[in-house]
Amino acid sequence: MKTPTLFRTWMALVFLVWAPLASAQDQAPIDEDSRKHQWPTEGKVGEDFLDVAKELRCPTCTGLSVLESDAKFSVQIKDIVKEQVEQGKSKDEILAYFTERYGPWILRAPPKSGFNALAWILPIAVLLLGPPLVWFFVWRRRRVVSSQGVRSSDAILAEMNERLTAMKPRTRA
Amino acid sequence: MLADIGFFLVFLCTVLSIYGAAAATLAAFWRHRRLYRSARAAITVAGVLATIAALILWYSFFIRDYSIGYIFKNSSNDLPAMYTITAFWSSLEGSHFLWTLLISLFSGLALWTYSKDNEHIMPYVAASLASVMAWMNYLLISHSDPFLRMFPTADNGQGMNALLQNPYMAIHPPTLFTGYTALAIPAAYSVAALGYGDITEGWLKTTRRWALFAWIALTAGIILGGRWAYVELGWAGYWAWDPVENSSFIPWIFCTALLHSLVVQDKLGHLKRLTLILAFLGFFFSFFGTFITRSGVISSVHSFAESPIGPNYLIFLAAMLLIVSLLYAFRAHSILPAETDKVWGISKESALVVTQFLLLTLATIVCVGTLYPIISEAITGERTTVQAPYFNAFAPWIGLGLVLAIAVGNMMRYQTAKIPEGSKLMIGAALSAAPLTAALVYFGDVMATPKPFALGAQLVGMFLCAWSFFCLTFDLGLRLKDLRFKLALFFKRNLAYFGGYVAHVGLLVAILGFLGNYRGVNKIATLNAGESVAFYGYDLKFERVRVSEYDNATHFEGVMQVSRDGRPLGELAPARSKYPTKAELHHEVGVRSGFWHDLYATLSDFDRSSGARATFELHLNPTVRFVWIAAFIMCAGGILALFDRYRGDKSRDAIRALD
Repeated sequence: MKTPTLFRTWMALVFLVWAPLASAQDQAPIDEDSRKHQWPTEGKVGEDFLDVAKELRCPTCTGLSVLESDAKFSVQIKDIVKEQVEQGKSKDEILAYFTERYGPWILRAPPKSGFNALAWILPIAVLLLGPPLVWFFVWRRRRVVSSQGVRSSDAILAEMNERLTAMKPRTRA
Repeated sequence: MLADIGFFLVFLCTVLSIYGAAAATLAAFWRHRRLYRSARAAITVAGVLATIAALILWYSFFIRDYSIGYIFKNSSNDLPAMYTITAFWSSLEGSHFLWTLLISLFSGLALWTYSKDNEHIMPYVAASLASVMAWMNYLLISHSDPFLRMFPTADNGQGMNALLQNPYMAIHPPTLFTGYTALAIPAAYSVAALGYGDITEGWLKTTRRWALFAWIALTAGIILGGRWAYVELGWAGYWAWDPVENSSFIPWIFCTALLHSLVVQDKLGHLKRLTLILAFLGFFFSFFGTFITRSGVISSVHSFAESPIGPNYLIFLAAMLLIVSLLYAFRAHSILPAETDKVWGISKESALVVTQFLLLTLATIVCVGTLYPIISEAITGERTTVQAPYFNAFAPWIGLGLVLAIAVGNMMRYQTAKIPEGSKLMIGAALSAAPLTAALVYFGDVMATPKPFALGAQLVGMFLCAWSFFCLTFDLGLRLKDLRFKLALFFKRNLAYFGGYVAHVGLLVAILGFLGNYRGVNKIATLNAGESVAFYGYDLKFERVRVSEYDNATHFEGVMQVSRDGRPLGELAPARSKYPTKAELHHEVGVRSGFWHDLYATLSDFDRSSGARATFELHLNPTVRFVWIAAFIMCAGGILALFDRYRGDKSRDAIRALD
């Protein structure tokens, strides 16, 4: 019969599953109490919470923010963020709080100061300075073509003009 | 016993490739035809033997020969048949084997299907391909040996990682590897052009075909990977700018840039040296990406355990870079620029150069961002993280530039700044784009975006994509009009152009899909059995957690009934699944896919004792389906272009007013 089997399966699984629970996103266990956490997602508090939580990385996952992850460590961080947002701290203050404790590694992008500013300046520099540099080094090399389709250059043209002028018969003034 | 035969075959392949590389190099220097033929035979036989070895490995998988360590680690007795096949490439040694197999097969194919005009450069091509094959085969018999035995033999294997037991993940590696290895042929032809000292007649046609083939495979492979991440990983996205994703994206960028450079080279004979550089770099970065992720230098979802393969890759990459750089430095001058005068200034050519610039800038940014954590740690000693926010700060701007370049570039003509009927086209496109944008905004419910910047970005982005689409279409109409709408004639001569048109439209559709990421509507809800939550007009009523067993896992499904305005729409059952051989619970996401948006739910947590309470994460993912559709459109465009005869215009050095 199905029901006893199902019940037995449930009981077995309750014991089997409870212990080695782990999130697929990382190898740390899901916080069993995470269902007790209600993250604010509405209103100004919710917006601020989402803003800050999006910028902190999940320390035990690869590539996820604490907002996206439900790993134990992330949940703890989200708790602290929720507390501080409810206390009225600004985004910069909260991020600075975490940076102080974990280092700039906890942020999802390099901070825009010190050596790390290079990471931000480089792409902007390439995007802005690139076109003028390309234009200067490549595009400006114009080749002058005479009517016969023969390639020449400014220097050769100037020299030939000079010689032509020298060869011209001098007219009386 | 079979495993030993397999290993011996791979060993033979190594010997043959080393011989092939040596013989082909000598054949190139001495212009010795018989040596080249011998090298070609060696490479072909190596391909055949590699295939046999691969079949041996597959056969061993099916007979569950757990004496082979690789099979023990990656399969189990209950692994379904399809995944037993794909277990071949589920881990480092096997995926390296697949890569080697593909490169052996493609090298053989390239050496037998060359253009008659290119016969005298084939020794160089063979030498390049064989040296890569030799190194890859060497790795197969040393650090990355899939045939390594393991005694005593176990009764059951450790099973495949549950994340990989998904149809998308099954075809994603072979498709992507096909792209990577196909890039080897244009790279080999570039080395050949440098070695020989000139770009031969049939060079362009062959390179273009292989580059297109690689591009189609790469596009398909990358988007398949994204689709896998979307349905398997449970964070409601498909692209995380993860290092291994980036390292597949960079070769794609270079391949795209290569294709555009080849277009200019075909029409005007310009940008020859840029083509050579792009072809090589595309191939180089396909290995480089693998090196930084598989060697553990940067951690990523694809990181396997650190293995001695890292230093090997480093030496190979450094040697390849050094040799090709020296070759370029000494031989590039012999690649003569074109005879036509360079009419710089505003023309289709300059639009293509702008495209190259944008693409290469994107490649630089992705590369810098991916490598930055290592660089900063090496220099400052401080660890930093570079994740999606960094890349998302720059990529949309480049995307914007590309959308504009697609529209303007396609309307322009070569060697003239005049766009035929330009203002009519652009204004007409703007007028047509307005209703299309309005429809997209209305049906896609774009105005529901909470943040103003995101809303503005979507509106502007959608309008520009629509405008670009109409510019492209009107340009196509103009060309058809030139031929008096004789469609058969048009397609006979212009398949490459039409393929490009379709591929560009596909990219615009994909960008429309990406714009949906700006919407940002999601919710976390904890529900007791029988409770409902309202989300974006949907009503989701949680029933209970249901336990079911199928395939080889136990699934805990959080069953929800979805309804909208009282109308029941069906069931949504995001689940966590447990596989017997691993301890973790994996996500099975619940998705209701519609054309305009996906309703995406994951089960973050549930009450294990009663199953009467669960926490769900709900996401609204607008226009995700556009991205999957775009994949088909882009690949269709590529395939269409493959069929062009590429007869080329023999008088391409002449100055022409029309393109």
